[in-house]
Amino acid sequence: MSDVPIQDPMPDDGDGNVLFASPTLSRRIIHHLQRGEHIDPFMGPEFRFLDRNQSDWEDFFAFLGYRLCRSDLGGESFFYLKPNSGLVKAERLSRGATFLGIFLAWHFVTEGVDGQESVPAADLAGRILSNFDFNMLVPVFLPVRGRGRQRAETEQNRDRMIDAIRTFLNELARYRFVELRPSVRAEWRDLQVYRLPALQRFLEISRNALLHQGSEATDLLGVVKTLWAGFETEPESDDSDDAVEDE
Amino acid sequence: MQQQDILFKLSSLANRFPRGLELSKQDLLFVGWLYFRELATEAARISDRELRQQLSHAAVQLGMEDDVSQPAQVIDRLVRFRMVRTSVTDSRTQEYCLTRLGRSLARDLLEDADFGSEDLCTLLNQAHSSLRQEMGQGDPAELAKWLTHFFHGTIREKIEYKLLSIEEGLLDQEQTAKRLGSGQDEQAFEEALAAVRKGREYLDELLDAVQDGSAYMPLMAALSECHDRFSQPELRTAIGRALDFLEGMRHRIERMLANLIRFVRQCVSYQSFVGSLSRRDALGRLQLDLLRLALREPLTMPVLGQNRPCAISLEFSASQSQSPVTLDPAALAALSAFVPDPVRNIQAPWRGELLGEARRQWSSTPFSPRPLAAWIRSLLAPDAADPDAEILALWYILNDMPAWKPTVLVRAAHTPWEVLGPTLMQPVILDTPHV
Repeated sequence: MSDVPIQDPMPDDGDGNVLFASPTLSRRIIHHLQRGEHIDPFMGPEFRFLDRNQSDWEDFFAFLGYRLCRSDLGGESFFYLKPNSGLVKAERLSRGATFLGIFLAWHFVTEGVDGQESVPAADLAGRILSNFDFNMLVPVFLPVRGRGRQRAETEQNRDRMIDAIRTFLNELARYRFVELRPSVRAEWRDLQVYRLPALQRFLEISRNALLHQGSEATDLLGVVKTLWAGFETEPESDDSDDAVEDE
Repeated sequence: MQQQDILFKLSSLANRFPRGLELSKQDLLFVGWLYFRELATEAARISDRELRQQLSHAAVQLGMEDDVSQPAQVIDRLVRFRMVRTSVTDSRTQEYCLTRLGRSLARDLLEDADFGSEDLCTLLNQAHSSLRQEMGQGDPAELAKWLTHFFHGTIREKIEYKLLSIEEGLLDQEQTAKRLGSGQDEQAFEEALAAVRKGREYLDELLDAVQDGSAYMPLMAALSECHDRFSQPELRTAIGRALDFLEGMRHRIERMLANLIRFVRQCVSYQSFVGSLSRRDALGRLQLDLLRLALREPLTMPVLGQNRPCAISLEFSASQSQSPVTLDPAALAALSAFVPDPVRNIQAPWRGELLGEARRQWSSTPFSPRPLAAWIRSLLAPDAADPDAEILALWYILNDMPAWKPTVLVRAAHTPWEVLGPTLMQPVILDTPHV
């Protein structure tokens, strides 16, 4: 891996300016996180910098209106931001990308001991198309055009579906849930989808349901709503801070 | 040996065992049992009565009472196949003893079945110490004999068997772990882990055999030394073969190590990924339910909004961006769409002044291209206190431009984007068409 120690200036003087001691690295961290990306150990320098100065970074992002979250789900750590003030916009992954994320998490969890870290994209699409009813997939992957004639499983519609899957894979890769190799623009038949630690977030719901379950009838939708609602924040009443300061 | 001689010996062998060795598993075990008895008591002879007792005892101990015929018949078979013979005694009681064939067959079979018991390390040590001994005597003929009979015969065979057994063992453990890894209960998973642990033991043994401090390197050194010291070609060939064999052994061990490490790591990463087996299955089921839910309900995961600053740009399509475009009302309408709505209705007091100055400058020096952003800023210079004024000025100028003389021509410049008010703007140059 490229993160050799020389390129890893690790400011650690603890005088409060630690985050500014390595401007390039700090800037990379801030911009990656603000784009909604997840920082995992595969991003060596950034991850270590966050890891060693976690509380400083938490304060810093709290000041900007975010909450810096660290997850150790499944023994693999990664960082990401959650909005913590109404000024920060929360968006949503598209339905297709969400479905793919859940599917990939499921795929990797059921792989067994010799579980691979990657799956060829073409295999992935093939498995989705063979495991689920085409009719059901259309609203997920081809929501706009998916009416009437589009629902028929023709060669052309399958191709459209595969194009859509590729687009949604790119969306997942943009947030570092997965990594696409050899490159995002590689030929479809060469494209490999690699699991990254953040993919565990799609298991969060099942894990939580498992923790609180008494029976088979766990209300997944309820868990989904509770977990994902944590991302929404109340719009900030603009002068509340100032009012406190004035008093 | 003459070929005639060989043929004669072989044909007498054929005569002696006309139906081959028809020994059953039970027969072999009995011979082995008698061999161990002989070792333990150091008495070769055994009376008829005791032999019968021993055979029935062995049958019980080895759990094969059902498969064995009467002791008398067994003895009959063993005698027929020349494993056991009647002993010549002075008394009238009948006594038996193992034949030479029976004894050596039992010993060799046991050794063969036991091929995996000695450590690789021990074998190498053994080879090394006996080689040193031979070298001490300094007799090339003896050394050659040692190499052919001891090294290439015994040691090499043992090492090869040993490696084979480790390889098979590893494969076996790997399959067990995989089979159990996708099984159902906690206990199976524990067994899978035990298999992995067993794999680690193999790993240790392999490592011990080739790492520094083992007899491997000294043995190689001693062989090379012999190679240098003796000049007999046959001897050197034999030494060369021995060195090749050891080299090959190391490569094979390295390959096995690599495979083994890969496997252990897979298991470790798998375990850290899911925890225990039953949990994994439960998790997998729930996740599948979640997938079904995601098909029915429009589930979308929340993520952070992409925080991009909004930009005003005069973006032309690729084909148009190359050639300059004269402003026409339609293009203007498109351009003005970039100006935020709230700005449009503001009537600044300096509007008339600004447009008057702009028209004056444009008509007075018509053939000098002007970068739009910089020009707006220079026009505004006296009122520069308000950054919003720049956007407002852009709006006024865009609306006024169609009336200007000479006609305005807009060109996109390929330079970094410029700041305009609170946002960025693609650089644009205002020009006059050349006639």
